[in-house]
Amino acid sequence: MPNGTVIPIDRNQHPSFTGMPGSFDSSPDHRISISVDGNTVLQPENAKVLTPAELYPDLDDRDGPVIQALRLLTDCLEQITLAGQIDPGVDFTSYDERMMRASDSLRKLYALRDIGDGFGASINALMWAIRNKDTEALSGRQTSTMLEVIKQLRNKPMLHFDSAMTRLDQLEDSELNIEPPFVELLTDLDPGEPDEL
Amino acid sequence: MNYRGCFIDTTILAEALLKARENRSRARTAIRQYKRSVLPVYAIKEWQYGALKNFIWLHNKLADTRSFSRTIRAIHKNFRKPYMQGTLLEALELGAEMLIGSDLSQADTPQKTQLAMADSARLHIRRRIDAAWRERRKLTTEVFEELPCFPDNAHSFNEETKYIDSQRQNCDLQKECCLADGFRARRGDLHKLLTAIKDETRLEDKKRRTALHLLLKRPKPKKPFDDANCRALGDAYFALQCPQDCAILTSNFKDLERLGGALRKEAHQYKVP
Repeated sequence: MPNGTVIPIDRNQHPSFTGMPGSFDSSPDHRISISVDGNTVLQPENAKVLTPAELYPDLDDRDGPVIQALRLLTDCLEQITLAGQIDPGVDFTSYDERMMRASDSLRKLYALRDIGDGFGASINALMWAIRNKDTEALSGRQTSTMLEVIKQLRNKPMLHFDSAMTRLDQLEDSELNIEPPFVELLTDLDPGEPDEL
Repeated sequence: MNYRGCFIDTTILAEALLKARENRSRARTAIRQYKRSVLPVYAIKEWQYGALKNFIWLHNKLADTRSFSRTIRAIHKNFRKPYMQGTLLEALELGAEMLIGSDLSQADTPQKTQLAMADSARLHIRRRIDAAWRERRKLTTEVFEELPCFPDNAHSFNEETKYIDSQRQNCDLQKECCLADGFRARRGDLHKLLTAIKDETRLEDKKRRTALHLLLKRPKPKKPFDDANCRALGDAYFALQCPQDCAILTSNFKDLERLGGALRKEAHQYKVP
């Protein structure tokens, strides 16, 4: 079977597939199998998966928010991956340089939160997870979890809020504090009854 | 008496479900220290109509004002929070530090910073509300006394308005509250509770006395023991229904020590950090 290039796609949501004959299926690693008249073709295992930037090299910030988000998520993923390869105990400045760039991407991603509450909640959590670490470096487990969450978000940026909840749980399970520090100042509503609601 | 179990009141439930992560974890640890932990559905009802309702209001206020400082002002006005002005400045400083600093963060004007902070808080509060709802019956070894007239319905999120809608705020009463007949049969306990709070002048105690008197009236009055009476019982419910081998675990220790003590039940104090 020849090598090829595979674009990750959710067949159920892609308009090109609606009304076409045959059936489509995708494996967990996003390879697509296509069956028409009993003949099945499966995309090769070693096919290259394109990044959004490679897929849309000519697009810039005038592009739609989802395209911008995909590019920024890729940038963020790259920076945190590179940071994870540096021992902050040995070279903190290089590590922190990468994390600052990741934070910058997250701030820009936060500006795209109208994509949906699931997307917004995930970016909000990632942003505050890094901010709340302050000058402390992420542990190996925390780095892996963040990378996993960003990858999942890049695969499905328009995720439902309920799906985002699972990812936020993963971040908290790795001992990341994802809460905006000013929220607690708002939520102390217990003492006394509200006068008028 | 060495208590094997704890009977969770609404203050602990709210602490374990809605507070910041560290506080939630601390409250859950306190519950787990007992072999048996019992959560009455009455506490879920009080929590739903109290603390959860306030959180939903806060979420919707952030969606409505799209401004952090306007939401702070609304809290200040409605929840008697005199220290809120200082809080506002502190919060704005924190938010601005994080959300300003990038051309594309779109938080480059005070108004946009307000919106960015309001959204950040709203998204987090929405998550906390959803998580609290999901976990409300999973905190203890037992859930006690389902209330047939309390619907315990989930809220829903309106994608268009960004508001969380609560389905209803009242019980589905048939003739009267499902707890009423059971309590009427415990005249001795009702009298003891009335004696315990006879000198109290707070509004909640006055309402509690009215509800207790209504249960004691003979013949049974035409006016039904309704949802408002049920809610007015409040701490008296926990004193009445706490199992004998359990202590009432509460951060509202003073009230429950007095009411529980009247029925020879003990309250254990949970100190809120």
